[in-house]
Amino acid sequence: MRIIVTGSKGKLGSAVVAYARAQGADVLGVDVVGAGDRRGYVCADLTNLGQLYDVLRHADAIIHLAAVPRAGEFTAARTLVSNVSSAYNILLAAHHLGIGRVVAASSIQVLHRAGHHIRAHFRYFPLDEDHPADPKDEYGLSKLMAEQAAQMFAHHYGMTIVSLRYVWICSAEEWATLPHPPPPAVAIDPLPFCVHVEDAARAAWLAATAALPPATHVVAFIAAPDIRFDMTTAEFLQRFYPHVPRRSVLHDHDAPISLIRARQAFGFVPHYACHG
Amino acid sequence: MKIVVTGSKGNIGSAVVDYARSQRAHVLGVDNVGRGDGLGNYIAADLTDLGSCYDVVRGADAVINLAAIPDSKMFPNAQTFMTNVAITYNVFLAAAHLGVKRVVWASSIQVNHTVPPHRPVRYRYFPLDEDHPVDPQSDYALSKYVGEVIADAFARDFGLTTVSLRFTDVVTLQRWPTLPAPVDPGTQYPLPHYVHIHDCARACYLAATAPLPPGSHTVAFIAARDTHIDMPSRELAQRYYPDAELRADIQDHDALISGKRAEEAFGFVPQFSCRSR
Repeated sequence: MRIIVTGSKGKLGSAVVAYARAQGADVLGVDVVGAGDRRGYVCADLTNLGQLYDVLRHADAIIHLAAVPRAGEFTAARTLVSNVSSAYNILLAAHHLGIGRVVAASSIQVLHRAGHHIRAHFRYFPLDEDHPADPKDEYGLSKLMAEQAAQMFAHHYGMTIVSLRYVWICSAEEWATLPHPPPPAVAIDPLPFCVHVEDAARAAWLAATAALPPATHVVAFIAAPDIRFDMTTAEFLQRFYPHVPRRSVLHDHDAPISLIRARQAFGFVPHYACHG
Repeated sequence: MKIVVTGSKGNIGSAVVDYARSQRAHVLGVDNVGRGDGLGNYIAADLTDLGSCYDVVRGADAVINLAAIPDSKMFPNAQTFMTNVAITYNVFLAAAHLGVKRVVWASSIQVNHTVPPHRPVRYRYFPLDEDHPVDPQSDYALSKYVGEVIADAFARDFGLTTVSLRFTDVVTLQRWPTLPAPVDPGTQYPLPHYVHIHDCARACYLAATAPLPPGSHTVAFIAARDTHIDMPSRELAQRYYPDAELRADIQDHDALISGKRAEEAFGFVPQFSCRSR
């Protein structure tokens, strides 16, 4: 099985490459860093459609992780246009080349951004994929637009696409610092979700390889089963979201986010929890 | 049969589109002029952009790639060369990657000498043929020569069937009534080769559709069977190109260029002569 991983030099990308190779996949990594090594890595600009057609050929599945990873690294328009164009280009080229499966890194930022001056308007907890999207910056917007593009290519061009809404992806070093002290009450929408990079990588692999029907777009949150703060979930919600309805009972440190979709659709269950 | 014709708004391109459609081919025209019709008959694209090339050539049985800056001195040298080579390479690459079996493209007699000549023209023999040494003398001519090298490489490396058509002086309908003409008194090197635009268009179509060995690269001059100069051909050759060896029995106004390759490879025989109208 040949898998192309874009953004392969990033935190998540390098973990996905390693995991997929461990599973026996033939992996070609693509990123904008350095120069290709003429074996498993090629350097390409994914906002350039022509380069994409070239590098994507012969793939069975594409795991598209390349993106400007947050607002503020570049000007807003550049972040938006770069992320949307690379996402669209990937889908278009995959469609034209007959590659039936694309996994794309989306983000919880389609509906959540920590520390923004405008508070989030959550309708309920646990969050799930049916919760209305509400991006607050160009990064979240770019991810939402990419999900919309995926929807179109899945429904109208027969592709199978999985948009993985990642939360904060922690490297092993970052993971070792968890759980974190409870955030002060004045904090605005502190993000309680995290996921270990190895879980995040395995989720991408499963999404790329699990049996899924054609003409399907799956949107799924990928998160650890518990919150990253050293407080109970009840305390967390009481402190920051006392008026948001809760649709299920959340015990102990249970993350107020549903992981059902990822489990049901492609069998992903996180192995790493931050508490104990 | 689906044929993609690039440069479809140009003189030759529009004639090729018309002819191919008259032969019931499904034709997508591509050029960088105006906007597409949204119906798949014409689309505007910048073929120096590789992604656009992939998009427009997919699904084609053959590509007739005529898009190019059509001569020197219209743009700075480097732009002419880089643009033409980029288009040629991109179209070949996209075609090869997407499984398009055949690419015909417009080379030029200018690989042998510029038109009009701005340096001495050294014909070694007549009739001129495709084995004659080339001598590109301009950015444009060099871009065409490099294009032939690209066509050759893609035939060998990807199994594409490629045809480089070395167009001679392609005569439009407007200019046709002015021929044949006397030797231009201002030139030391009169160039007698020409082809009617309708013949040129038919040659493109034949090169795109005739049976050819897979993975072959054919280079062929596209020319009429006579000259477009009043002076008898033997006299013209002896007066202006005295060093050129005459390798055939050239009579009257017979062409000083061989059409054998195009005829043998893909059955092209010109139907137009400026002397028989």
